[in-house]
Amino acid sequence: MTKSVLLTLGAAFLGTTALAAAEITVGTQNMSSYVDPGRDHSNVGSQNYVNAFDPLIQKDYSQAGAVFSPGLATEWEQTSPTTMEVTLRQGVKFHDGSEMTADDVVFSFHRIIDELTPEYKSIKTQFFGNFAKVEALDTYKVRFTTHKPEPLFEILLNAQQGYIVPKNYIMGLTGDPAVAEIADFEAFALKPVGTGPYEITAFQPGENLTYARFEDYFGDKAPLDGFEMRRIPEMATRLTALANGEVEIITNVPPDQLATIESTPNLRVEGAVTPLFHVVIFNAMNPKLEDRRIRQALSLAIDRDLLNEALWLGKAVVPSSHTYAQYGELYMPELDTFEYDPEKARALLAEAGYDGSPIRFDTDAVYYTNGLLAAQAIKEMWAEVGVNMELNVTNEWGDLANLETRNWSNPMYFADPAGSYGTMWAPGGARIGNTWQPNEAYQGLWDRFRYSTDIAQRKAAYAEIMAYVKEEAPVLPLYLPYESYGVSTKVEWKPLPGHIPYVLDFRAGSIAVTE
Amino acid sequence: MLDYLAKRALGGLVTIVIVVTAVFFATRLSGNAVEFMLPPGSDPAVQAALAEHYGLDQSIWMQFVRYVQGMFVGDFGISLNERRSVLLIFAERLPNTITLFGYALALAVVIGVPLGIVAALDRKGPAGSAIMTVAFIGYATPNFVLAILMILVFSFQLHWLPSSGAATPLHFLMPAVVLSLPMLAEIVRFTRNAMLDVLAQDYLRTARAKGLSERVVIGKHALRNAAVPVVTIIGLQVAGMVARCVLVEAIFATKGVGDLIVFATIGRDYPVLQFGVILIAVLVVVVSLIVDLLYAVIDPRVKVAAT
Amino acid sequence: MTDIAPPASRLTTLAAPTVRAGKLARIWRKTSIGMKICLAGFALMVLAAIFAPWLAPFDPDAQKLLSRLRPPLGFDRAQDAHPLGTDQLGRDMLSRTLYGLRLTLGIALIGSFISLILGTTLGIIAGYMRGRIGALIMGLVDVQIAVPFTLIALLTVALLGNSLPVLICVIGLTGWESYTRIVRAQVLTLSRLPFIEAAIAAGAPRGRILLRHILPNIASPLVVIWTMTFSALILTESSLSFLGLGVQPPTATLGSMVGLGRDFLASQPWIAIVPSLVIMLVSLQVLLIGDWLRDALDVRLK
Repeated sequence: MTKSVLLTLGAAFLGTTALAAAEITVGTQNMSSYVDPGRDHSNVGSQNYVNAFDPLIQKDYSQAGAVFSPGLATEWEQTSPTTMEVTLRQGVKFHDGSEMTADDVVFSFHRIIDELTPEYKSIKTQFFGNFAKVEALDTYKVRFTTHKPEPLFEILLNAQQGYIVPKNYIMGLTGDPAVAEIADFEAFALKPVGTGPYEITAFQPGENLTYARFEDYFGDKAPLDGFEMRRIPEMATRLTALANGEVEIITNVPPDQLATIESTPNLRVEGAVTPLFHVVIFNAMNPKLEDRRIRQALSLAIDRDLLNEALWLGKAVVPSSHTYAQYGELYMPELDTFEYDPEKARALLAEAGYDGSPIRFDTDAVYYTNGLLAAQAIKEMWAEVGVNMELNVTNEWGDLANLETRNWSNPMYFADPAGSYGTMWAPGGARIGNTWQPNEAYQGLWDRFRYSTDIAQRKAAYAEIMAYVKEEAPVLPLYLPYESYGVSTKVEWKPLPGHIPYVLDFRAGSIAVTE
Repeated sequence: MLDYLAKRALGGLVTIVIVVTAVFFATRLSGNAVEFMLPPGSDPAVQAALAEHYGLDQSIWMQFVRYVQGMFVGDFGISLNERRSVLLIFAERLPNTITLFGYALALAVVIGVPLGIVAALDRKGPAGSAIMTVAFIGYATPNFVLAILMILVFSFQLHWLPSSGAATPLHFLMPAVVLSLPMLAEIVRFTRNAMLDVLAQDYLRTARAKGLSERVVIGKHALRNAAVPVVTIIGLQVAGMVARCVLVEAIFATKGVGDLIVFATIGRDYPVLQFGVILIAVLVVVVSLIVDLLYAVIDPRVKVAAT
Repeated sequence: MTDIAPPASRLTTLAAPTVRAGKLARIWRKTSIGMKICLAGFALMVLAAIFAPWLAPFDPDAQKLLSRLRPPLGFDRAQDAHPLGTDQLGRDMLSRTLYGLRLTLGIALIGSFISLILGTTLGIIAGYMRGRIGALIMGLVDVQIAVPFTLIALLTVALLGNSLPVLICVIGLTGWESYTRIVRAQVLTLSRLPFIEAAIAAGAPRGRILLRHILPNIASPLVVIWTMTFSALILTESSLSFLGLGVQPPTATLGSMVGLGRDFLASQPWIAIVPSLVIMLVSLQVLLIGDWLRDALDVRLK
């Protein structure tokens, strides 16, 4: 009797009655400090946008391959290799009540193309570098023009960075309402407005983000009345919040904790292999690692299958090349770019005259699931081939000239090799010129891959690129991590294969809450 | 008296200035803030553009001058991480820290002082030893381990208490208990020692000889004189409020200023860090002054001599 | 220069630095059973720490990736070779705990001596010199209190990087102000005593006065403060490791073992609990010993 009274009181305090109103809380490991889909390519950011914004071209995310459908655009036609004309849906409302028109589309893309803030510059390089201009042909018609022929139009118009945002709302936030100032974008990132099935009602940067159903959504109504994303960085606390009924979903559950969730009666685990690589990068521009044989040896010494078995219970996927199943026809698992061969590693080190001096490996303590554990395991693996690793746990990258080796992630930003390998390792990519300087032929090779409209030609070019990567060894993808979520049995939800990593999709058809 | 206070206040101000300046230069020499404002491994060109936008590429002296100028008009800058006014962020979080610490201190004092007195009166006996042992254990336990264990027991297993957040007073229960334990231990020990010192004094014998009841002897005379060290230790605890709260706030996610400042340091969020340091320095100086005043009130014989 | 014979009674006690053997025996007899157990326990831990390389069954950094997360003996899936279980990389918990204890005690020891020497020196200077320098030193004490230690530690590690020497120095900078205050107070009091003033008037060198009269009389309070700071340093080191500062993996201190093991507390609790218990035991023992010493040497601390 007393116990049930106490439990009821406890439940009342904890607000577990919230479920009756179909609202849920998600306990996340991280939380962004800004919300702007066009500015963001971080892993933590992808949690934020799917529910509150829409792209021009939608996709069926329940499948790994690309099946496109109308989003904010009802029709689109690639009228020439470098132009695409898009007809917009009419009567779409932004969360502030205003109607979406071609002006908003032009504004959304041009804020990035014109590099109106430093962060947009980075997004442009990685996603829209080929976009020359976007023009309004009339109120509901837009034309995109690119510099070179663009085989990836549909993919790019579906990307998170191309989600449409309201022009007048943003310009009116600060200063002159007719001018888009940097301060406007800063303000927008704190009070974002989109067209999606949920609107954002509260945002405390780094802490929580609250959504409520947007009644005037043009598409299928949102299944939840609302939801809140709350940051709980401590693993034990996050797990407890789930078990205690304070949250209904938690993110970033490492494999070692899955058994605890699975053995708790009202909880279950939902996991999926994430379209992202945990990688190790080797700084080819550091004198210690200039000799490619040393880099190759370091790469060959890592037993990725053992890492998978020990740290991921075998659930991660070890790729043979920089390629994902989501690429569809461009998925190339037959390429043998990355291998484990400690014998060959030792031979290469001897050939290169490696002198035994320590090689530094930087890692963050917590940023990548199992990242620190993998680094320590790799230290042992390198010791097996005679390399002394100096493990450096730090949360900074520091001066890149001093970087030797470290871990990192290469997500799949959109379902094409240009959207994963390309963003980081294509000419102009994040690592080119600071940890790797490819030869002169590389630009031509890359262009052949990126801009060919014939799939067979693209594949052949990509195979050549991967062969070059095998020779140069600037990077080694370790595995696609198996990211797990803890979910209350009252909630039907699981991560969908067609999304980029870490998306929390709560749209119609993706989630249901039962009593 | 007044000019003693004025002297101390001036000394305090000088301390604050030294501390703020030292922290300003140390942080800017120690790392690249812009790196933390972008996803890991961002293109150095983008980092450079962002640095220019926030004035972080100017010389340290320029930045310092601008900062000081800002201080005089109440502009303590924009958080590099949250892109919001630093004052606003602290205004949101300070009440949580003060609430948490208030609960913890109340617990520590209300339970600690009586226990310390009992331990002193029953010095060799079972009650005294038991109290001192528990006090020692409370002091020796790492607070973060206790915190996580309490969460696992009271939230995970028993479902009695919420595990994190700052929404209701009940959310503060576990954090307050964890925070209060070492303070409680300190107060018990200091009260006991102070009482022991005082109980041995001659003037108590005189009081008893005069025929005053034991309760008056202890209550009026002994306590009053024992109060000075106890007030000192409580003052030190209050001055150290923010530092003590750091780990507890991080684990229980109570959104206070302790973990804000620490993670601002790790993430090189300079404006937040600067303001945090100023806040702490001001707190320490104010508490020192109050404690000195309390000495004078408790025991007029205590001289307020300059050190 | 002949010694100036100190007057009798109170000053005799003050100026008698050595505790005679008879007094030691008396202290031992008066000690309770509980305290004796505590002393023995501490001695055992220190021995275990010193002889860790011989006592540990495995290399503390040796990973066995396929033997990860084994519980201690008595639980499901335990292995006989690992009585305290294995951690998240398959390393033996018993070995790691022994080595961790060794490193933690070592860091606390060296750090506390740095603190002791620094604080005492400054206190003596402040007490002797008084005037400007004395005021400056006491001002430094105020500043030291004003800036929270965690912040100093973070900034220092951020500037100089995670490494053992940096950690030891940073820890050595904690708590020196306790010594300074006490020492300075004692120096001030003692130097006003008639026989000391007479000695100075008679031309006795300051150094000698320091050595023969001042130092012996501050020894007792110093020892007591030392034991208290020692236990605080153990806790400080574990707090720093919890925040991710301090020694780099795979090197283990007790604190870093708890810090890196905390993610596993819900399902593999021994990884964090074993080192936590050891931290608790050690700090507790040192605290109790400090208290006992203080009673035994009959020194009143303000």
